Amino acid sequence: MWARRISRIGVLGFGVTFSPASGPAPVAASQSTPTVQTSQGLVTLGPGRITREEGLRAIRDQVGLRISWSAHRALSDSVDVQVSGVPALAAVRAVLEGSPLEVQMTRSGVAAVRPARTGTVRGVVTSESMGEPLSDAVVELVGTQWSTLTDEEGRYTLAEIPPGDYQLSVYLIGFGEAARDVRVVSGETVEMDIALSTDAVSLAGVSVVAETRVQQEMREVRQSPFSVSVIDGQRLASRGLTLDEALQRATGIQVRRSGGLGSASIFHVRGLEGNRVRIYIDGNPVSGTGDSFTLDDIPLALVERVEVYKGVVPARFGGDGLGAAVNVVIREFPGGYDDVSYAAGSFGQHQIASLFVRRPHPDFEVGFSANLDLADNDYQMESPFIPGLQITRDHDRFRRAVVGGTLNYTGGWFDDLHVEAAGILSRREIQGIQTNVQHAEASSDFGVLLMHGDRQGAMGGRLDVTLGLVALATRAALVDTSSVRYTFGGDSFPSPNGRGELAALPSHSDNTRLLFRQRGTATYRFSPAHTGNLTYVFDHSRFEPRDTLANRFAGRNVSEFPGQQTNVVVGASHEWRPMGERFVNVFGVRAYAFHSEGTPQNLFDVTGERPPEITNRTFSLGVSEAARYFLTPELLAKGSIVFATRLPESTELFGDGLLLQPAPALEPERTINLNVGLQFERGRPGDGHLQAEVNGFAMWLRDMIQLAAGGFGGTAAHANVGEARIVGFDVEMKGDVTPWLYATGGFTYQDARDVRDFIPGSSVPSPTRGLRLPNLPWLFGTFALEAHAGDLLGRNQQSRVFLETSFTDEYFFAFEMSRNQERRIPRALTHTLGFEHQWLGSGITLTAEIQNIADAEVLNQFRQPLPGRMFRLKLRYTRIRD
Amino acid sequence: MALVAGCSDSPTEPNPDDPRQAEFLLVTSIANESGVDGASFIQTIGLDQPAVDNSSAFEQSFRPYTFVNGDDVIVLQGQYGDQAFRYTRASDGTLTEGGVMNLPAGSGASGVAFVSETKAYLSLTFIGRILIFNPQTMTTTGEIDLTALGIARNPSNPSDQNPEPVLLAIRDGKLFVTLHQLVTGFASADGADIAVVDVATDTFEKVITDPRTATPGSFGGFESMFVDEDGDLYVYSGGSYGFVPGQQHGFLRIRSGETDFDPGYFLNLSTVTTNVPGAQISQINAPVYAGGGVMYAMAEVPELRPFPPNFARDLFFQAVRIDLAGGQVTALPLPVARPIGSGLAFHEGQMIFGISTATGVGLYTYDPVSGEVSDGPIVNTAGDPSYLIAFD
Repeated sequence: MWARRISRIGVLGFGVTFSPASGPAPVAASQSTPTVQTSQGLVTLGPGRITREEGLRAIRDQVGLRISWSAHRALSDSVDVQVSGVPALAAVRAVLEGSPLEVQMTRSGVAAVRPARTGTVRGVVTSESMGEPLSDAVVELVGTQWSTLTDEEGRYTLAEIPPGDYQLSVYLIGFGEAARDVRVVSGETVEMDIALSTDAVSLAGVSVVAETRVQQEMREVRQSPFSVSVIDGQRLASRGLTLDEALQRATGIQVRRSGGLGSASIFHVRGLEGNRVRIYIDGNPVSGTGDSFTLDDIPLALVERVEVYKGVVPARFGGDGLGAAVNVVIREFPGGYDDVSYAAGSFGQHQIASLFVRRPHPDFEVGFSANLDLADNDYQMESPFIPGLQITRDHDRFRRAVVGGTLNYTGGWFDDLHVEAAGILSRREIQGIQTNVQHAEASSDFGVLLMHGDRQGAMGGRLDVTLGLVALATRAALVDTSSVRYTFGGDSFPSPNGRGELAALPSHSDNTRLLFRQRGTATYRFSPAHTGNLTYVFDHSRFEPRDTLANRFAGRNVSEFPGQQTNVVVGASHEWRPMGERFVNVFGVRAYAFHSEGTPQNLFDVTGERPPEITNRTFSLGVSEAARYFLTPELLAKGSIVFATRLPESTELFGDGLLLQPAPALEPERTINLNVGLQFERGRPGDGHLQAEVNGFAMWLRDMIQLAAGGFGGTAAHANVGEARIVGFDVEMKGDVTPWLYATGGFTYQDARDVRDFIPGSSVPSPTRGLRLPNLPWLFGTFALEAHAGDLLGRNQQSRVFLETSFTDEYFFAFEMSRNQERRIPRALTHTLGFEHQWLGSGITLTAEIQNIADAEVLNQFRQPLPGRMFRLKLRYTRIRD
Repeated sequence: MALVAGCSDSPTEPNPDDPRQAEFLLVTSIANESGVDGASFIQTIGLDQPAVDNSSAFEQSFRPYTFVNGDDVIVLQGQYGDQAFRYTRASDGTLTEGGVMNLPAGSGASGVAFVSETKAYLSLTFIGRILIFNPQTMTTTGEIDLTALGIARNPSNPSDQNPEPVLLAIRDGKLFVTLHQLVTGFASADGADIAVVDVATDTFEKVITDPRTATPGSFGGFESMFVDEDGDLYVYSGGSYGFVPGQQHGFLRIRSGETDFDPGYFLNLSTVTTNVPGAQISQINAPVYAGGGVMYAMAEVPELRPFPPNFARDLFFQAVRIDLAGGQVTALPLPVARPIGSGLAFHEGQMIFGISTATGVGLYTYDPVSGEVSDGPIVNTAGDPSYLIAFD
């Protein structure tokens, strides 16, 4: 499961990584290294002659920056080092200067010293006529993200450049533009001095603004060969949103909610939804948890970004699926960090979130997080069963507590080795829609213990390794024992079969599920242009349902049908980055092996004897190919194709122990996905940024697993019966309209059609062939404006006003076959207006917003009305400790 | 053999000049991806069209319970909704909407019996009551509470307050109400119960019980309780769909003029052997009385029903002829069909089977005199035929 970084911060939170860029570390001067001085985390080293290793130790021990290195001859070389008041990382670079070594920050905040697999280009830019150095000239490698400005002495350095042939471009307003070919070699520095002519050239709009690590990673994901939308979690972190609500803002995804906070959601990506959209946390599949864990359990404050893959899921993620996936990337935190917030909203919503991270020792970090969500969800709705009947929901209360802690050790072979324990307790009343349910409720308990190790730069800097272990236990219960049923008109009547408000049988279930998962990834850099990745995930899970009350009322065993399953998924990919990364190609293969055993119910066996165990064994392969090419520095094209597989779920294979019959012979669902896209990006966020993307896609699905009704008694079973073709496109634009106004917008059009030629198992032409698949949105989009201003209400303050619009066109609940068809999910148009104010010095942020301003009636599942107008207020306090 | 030759390659609107058109009510059903929900389409048709689509039909909830009286059609949504709809066959043969009546929430309405044009009964299965309503105005005029008839034969639920009334039939001024006496959603207590209500006074009179079977009257199978030419009332009892050990399924009878089961009659279909694979049938679906003591139905053949099942592809229902007096069951030379809904009708001496088979989905015919069947559907339908009802 979430073996990698989730263990550090977690679903549940808590995490810990020191980022030298984000905050200085407390240090004490060392007697043994008198040449080191620090002030507010800045390093002064020298003058003096020391070995490079001594220099690294001095910085590590005294400044607190975690530095890892392996034995290398260059480290024993003595060098003259003299730096004054520079950040720790710059001091490391100074120590390493002239060596074939380089330093790179890992995602976990470790400065990894390794043999350089990159090179450096540096030089001086001067005036051709006068020979004087030119400052602020833009120096960039064409078609890449590497660029910089010359300093006052005209010097520039482009470091950590992967080997390859590039074109170096230099330009400056008032001067001409110069271009040179340059070859970058690992561990070497290319000296390239440039003289610019004085030809007047207008270069309006040229600017270089440093990206944050988060922005850079988001851009790298966007510019990857895969079709992917990215949401900046931290941009929304101060809002009173849940992760589901935040996801709704990504182009190409619909989150089909069924109610208020805590209600079930279905993720919809390009015509795929439910089990066909896989969920990952930091690239680790979230599966095997039953209904006990949902993405909404992750507080938004912990989320760095959310990636929505819409065609091909990178093979390194490890896991099956049809190409649609949501990957939540958990945020990294500085070593000393507090984050506390409280949000209150309409319909009894209260959300309290807290996160504390400390580093009591240079090698240890600890984190703790606790979150509490409460909601009454007592909004009004019109009954979807009795037109005109207004109902106030009064049995939809939701309670959830999420608690977790982590311990992170950085002193061993692993750059990071951490252990995390977390738990989720939730209780949810069940709101009736057709009848007025008053007593039934569901609960789930979820506990996870995991370990994770992350090592980067092994084997001479070529190998990165991660290993993870997860042990997880869930317990879910449905308590439905009322002997009375109620109507919304105030009437009551006995439960049809004596007890229970929801179904034919009462329930007091106790369903447990145990999961053990091991996951490993290895990434090996054969050369700067060739990288290989191998990922494996081994899962073993057992589920043991039990409902003695249902058994008693049924007069036979209708619940206790345990099962177990084992999955092994192995993925391998090769990444090729020739032409200075102008072109990237990723080829991946995956193998799936699946074994499951169960003893499903057989209603037709009137002897009531325990049926024999049923097994299912499946082996399947998937292949993906994705490429990206920069047509110009600002315009890239991408394309991908995947042959993917989704393995059957245990419920599909074994049924529910009652009317849902087993189908152990199910085959995996298969798909071919094709995606092509163009992406334009200019500037950097906050500085004339413009990003536009259009993607076209086509998918062919077959062997789709669907439920088939069987006749008497309401029995049904899953079968491979569906075939569909989905084509469409999505468009997304975002950018700075003015320095203070930011706009985003996007929409998706998708045409999902049934392409079965014949009714399953027959030679009869299918009456739905060519028809749009029912109950799926086909046109939806979002648009948002955000105005921001600094010092509007006072010094050192920042304000934002935002307006968001969401639109989904109406669609039919069933296949559209008649001109008289009326059952539809109506068109939804909602607006949200909000204000956010941040007192930068104090770390306090206040956000207020009105969702669904017009109080529009909104459904995004049939007969599941959503809340109307909602108010939310959130107060958040964050602090980075020295 | 085709009963009626097609005259057009495409579906047509009903033609008032052609009396053969619009003589049937057809309900076809098409599932959503969920498989257990979707839409049904209701329309009038004739047998002179080689195919009918659903373009002019009214959409209804999935596999609704449908009843016809004269030109009036009452549709109940069962578990999928709490409204009763009225449609009327107009003089031009088309169907028109004629009113809606709200029902108690979650009441699971499942049966209708017509007393007159202005009075009918409607069973509310999940709340143990019978609603009295005016089908012309679709308004409620009364209610009969049967909750006291819930029985305690299930030890886990000794205080059962719902007898689960399902199918209704009227004979000689009495309303007969089949009671499923469910102990789960799919299993009844032993014994077949029928409540007897006086139509004139709308008062409950008694419950009669026959211990030889259980689950009398099928959901949606409006002719699984019927009155023959002699005034005898027959009712098919499913015996908990075969899910309860020891329960038998078959036909019970209440003689004309009587209000008790005929102790000398039980056509036990659990023990009948016939010319199907395995020689036995386990359930019947959509029975239709053709007169002369003969019924037709689709019968489940357990030998053809594998476990675990593949309900999307398995074909295990066989068209059969049932001799109510002699007790013989004979398989007809029609292809085996899917388990999903079947619509059967007897009209002008012909049996019409609306079924879904491996080679056709639509209306097949069987000539009781010659014993011939059509080579394929004489009318192809867009969706599984859930109901085919001949207008009077």
